Amino acid sequence: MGIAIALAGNPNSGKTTLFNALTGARQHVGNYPGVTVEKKEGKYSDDIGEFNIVDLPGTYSLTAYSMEEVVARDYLVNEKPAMVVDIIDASNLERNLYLCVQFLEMGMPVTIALNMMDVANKRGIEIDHKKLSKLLNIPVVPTIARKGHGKKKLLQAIAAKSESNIEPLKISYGQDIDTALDEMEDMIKSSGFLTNRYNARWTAIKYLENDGQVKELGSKGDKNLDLQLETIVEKVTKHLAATLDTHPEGMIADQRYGFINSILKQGIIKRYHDENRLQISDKIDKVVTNRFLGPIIMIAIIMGLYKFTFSYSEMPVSWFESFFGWLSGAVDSALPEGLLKSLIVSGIIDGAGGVLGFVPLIMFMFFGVSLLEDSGYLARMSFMLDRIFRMFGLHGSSVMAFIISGGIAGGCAVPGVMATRTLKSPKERLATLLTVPFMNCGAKLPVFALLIAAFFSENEAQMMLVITLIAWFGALIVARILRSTVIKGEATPFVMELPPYRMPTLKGILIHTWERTWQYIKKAGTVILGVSIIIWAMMTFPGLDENQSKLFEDQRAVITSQAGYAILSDIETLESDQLSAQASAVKDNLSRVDLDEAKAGLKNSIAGRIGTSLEGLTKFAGFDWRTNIALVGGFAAKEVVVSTLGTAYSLGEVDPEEKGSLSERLKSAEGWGPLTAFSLIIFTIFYAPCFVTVICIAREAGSWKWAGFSVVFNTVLAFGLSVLCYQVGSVIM
Amino acid sequence: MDIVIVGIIVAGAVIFSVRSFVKIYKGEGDCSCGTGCSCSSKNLCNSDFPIANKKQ
Repeated sequence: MGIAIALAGNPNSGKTTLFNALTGARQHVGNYPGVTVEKKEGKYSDDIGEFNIVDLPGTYSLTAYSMEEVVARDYLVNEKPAMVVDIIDASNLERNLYLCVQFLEMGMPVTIALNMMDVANKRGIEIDHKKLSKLLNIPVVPTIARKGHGKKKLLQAIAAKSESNIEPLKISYGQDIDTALDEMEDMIKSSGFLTNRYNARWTAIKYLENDGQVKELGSKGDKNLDLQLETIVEKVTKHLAATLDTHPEGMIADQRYGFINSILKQGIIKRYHDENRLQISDKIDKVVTNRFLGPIIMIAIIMGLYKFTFSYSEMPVSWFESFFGWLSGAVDSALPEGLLKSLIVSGIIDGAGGVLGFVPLIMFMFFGVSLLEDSGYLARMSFMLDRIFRMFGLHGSSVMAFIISGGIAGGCAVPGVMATRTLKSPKERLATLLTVPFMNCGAKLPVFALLIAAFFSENEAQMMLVITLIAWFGALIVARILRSTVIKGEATPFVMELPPYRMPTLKGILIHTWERTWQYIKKAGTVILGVSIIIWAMMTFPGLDENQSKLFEDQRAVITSQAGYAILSDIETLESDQLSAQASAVKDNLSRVDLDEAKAGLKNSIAGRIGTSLEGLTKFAGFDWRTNIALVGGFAAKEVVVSTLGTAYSLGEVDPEEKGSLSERLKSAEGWGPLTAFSLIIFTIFYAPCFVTVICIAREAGSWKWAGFSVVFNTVLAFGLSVLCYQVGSVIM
Repeated sequence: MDIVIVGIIVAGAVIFSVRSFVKIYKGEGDCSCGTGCSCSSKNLCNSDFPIANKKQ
């Protein structure tokens, strides 16, 4: 049985980085606060000992203000780990120690990991960690989690200290509060109220801090005692308001900071530079987050990312396309005509293979996004967009959920929906989780890439930027509508700490890029492959009945009987360019009959019938029955739109030698053009979220009503916008 | 023979897909959102904090 240790600390102090360094896990690390909302678990063992490590969400306090704080506190109280490792950002010691003091007040065994020592040193800050350890009476170990420095020493300190008993820290909060605390503590002790969970003084402090969770437990448990404690709190509150114009919560926070300052003033911190000088991050932020320059720089950076992605991925994408084209041709020649060949060529290679063909593009996009993320720029985007978001009834914290969902491109709505947990207002949270699916997630990316390559190849990056802006603008408008109608409510203030810029490491970026690309490949090889096979079956069966097949057979018989043996023999033996004009005409006629038969079979299939039945409505948006099947399949996962179009246009093909990439086939297909493609892009941005996202919305919203709303509202909105684009475009063009 | 092999492959795909979606629905399966998340959907989707439980 290993030593149970919990990693806790302020947001963005490097908990997840240390967790990964200790456990060898590859949990996602972002240079912005709020990456860890739920706890994560891992193991570490060597000669020092065996450790069960839990990474808790980042919190500033242990009062139940937010979900992260509740998760962290509940874990510490219920699981009672042998050691809490408080990861402290060494360059922000005072503020980070505030949480540490609360752990000590709670009576938790604490070891401080004084992290980001390199950043602190660069800022000219030197910390006497031995003295700090002596004054707090807990182990303090300097670490640089990013490089894995100090982890052994940290574990040695934990192993040495984890068995010792800890006396809760007692801080004086001033005479008024101390007197009330003593009285409350006695009452709590004698009644045994919550003493199995918390120490009595800590419970009393939480009452004074107006902690919702503790007070709810009190009101449900010992009602009489709860009333008495509330009476004391009320009395102290009134007294503090009258005498010091403050409230217990504020007073407690002030006294905690006073305690921390009294420690730090004992020569813990030495600064080698002028404290007021602008740090490099501040200097960069002066320009990058400037009210006027900031948005221009932001657009330029996103545009640069798209340019980089499309330019550098063009060649590898064409290699992938060539490979799948070659594979398709090889299988086509190797296997005899029949269902198995059709399944492998049209269902698997042209279906799921079409999705895999975009792997290089996805990889380049993720590389760029990882670079922005690791550098700390994404947090600046949040900061700048906060002003705009508030105008539309959302919260500054919503921005990060949008970006995680694919705000720049290539995210995923599922963690985006989950990231809304950082929002404290339920109404702002609901509005955010209903609008994050509009972002351009990694699954929509191949759909856009396909249509851009086919119809907007001259302006790929510009088109991608337009798509991004449409998604953001649409999401904000919808949020405003929701916040003015079904989810009315006040906006809450937003304070965001901007993390310092960091030089991303190539290794870190490559790991992030590979993790995300691997997820994409894995999904294409499992879920997308499974769905592609099912859709192929739905596009193949029941096929044509005997009478219908006979009609085509008759047509062939008429053509061949008129052509004569010599011409038919030429068609069989000679290449197309060697055929006479008459033989070419016969060959074309036969091909046309084959094509008509393939199309008739596809249209008569289960999927074909579904697609055709919707065509009466979707024709107003420019979608034919094949696009309809793709869009219905896209509900399982958006990549299925690409794989289904791949299968649909592959099944309609007759001559494998004339096959091109899917984008080339769409370009030459009947009914397709830039306007249809743009209408489909609009529909893909806004229509129902995928199956997994819908489930997550239901779980996070606590109601299937909102999940249903998301499916119906988004699809209706998407259809309305697509029709508008297509119809207006048809008039103009 | 062709029809038998195809039948087996399609049946396998149906079973696999249905199982995947049921697992996701129950919050037991791997996260199949594809990009951007590396944790199980159990962690992702079984929210301890559904909005409906909070005061609106």
